[in-house]
Amino acid sequence: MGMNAYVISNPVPSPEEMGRLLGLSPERVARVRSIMNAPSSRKTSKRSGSKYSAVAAKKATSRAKLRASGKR
Amino acid sequence: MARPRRIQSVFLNIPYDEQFENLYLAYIVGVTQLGLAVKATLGVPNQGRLDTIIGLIEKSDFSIHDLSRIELSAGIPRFNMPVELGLALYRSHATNGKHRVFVFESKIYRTQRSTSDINGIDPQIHRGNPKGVMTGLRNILRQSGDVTTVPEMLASYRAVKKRLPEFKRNAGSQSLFEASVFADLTVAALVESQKLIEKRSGA
Repeated sequence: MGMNAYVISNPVPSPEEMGRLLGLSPERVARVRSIMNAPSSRKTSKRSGSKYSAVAAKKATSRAKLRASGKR
Repeated sequence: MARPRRIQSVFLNIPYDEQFENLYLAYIVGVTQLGLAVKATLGVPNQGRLDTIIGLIEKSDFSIHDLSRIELSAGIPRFNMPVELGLALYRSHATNGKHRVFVFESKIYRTQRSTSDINGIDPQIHRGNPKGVMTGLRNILRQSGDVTTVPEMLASYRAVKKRLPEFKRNAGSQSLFEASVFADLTVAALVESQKLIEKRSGA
């Protein structure tokens, strides 16, 4: 009963076809489409590039000092 | 006007609770991207619920039953999923196996102990994660044409998941388990499908 795979004969429906089946208006489908197509808002750091370099330089200096002192 | 094409459908029998949200979304994205329409009891009012469930099973080509959450809830066992499985099994019997029944579980061999009457059905073990659900769906379903892969489905799952706050906000709800959110998620999965198909065809 559950061993053999079930063969799907229809191709993947379009969002509009599925919207019609679900009783959604074309506007509603378009709205979902625009949500999915909107660029995602990525969280970006407030630190500028120069601040990043300053922090990296400071870390490198302290690492070098640590190595020179033989401490771990 | 052209007659709308028939889309094969599946009766999806899964728990509707917050802890199951990720798997719920995985089922919607996976099943939809394999080309099927999902029939679920979401949004069915309690009055006449059993009749509605029977009607949904009768209208579906096959059914998927997730038995991973049948444990006690506030001291009471959850029997809804096994009841619906029983209805689908009878439907399968009455249609000489035309209505197919598939079972999903999170733990291997548990179904054999909890529901030994269905030992002839090998459950798909999803281990409680979306990838497991999608792997199981690919095991039980075969697309005749364009084939959607598990990594593609997972990428779409993540893309839809990222937009959940907006879908919930539009539905005026904190829950995913609303008929309105369910419809939006189904369409959203197909928007992602179209992107995959276009990408594959190099459009």
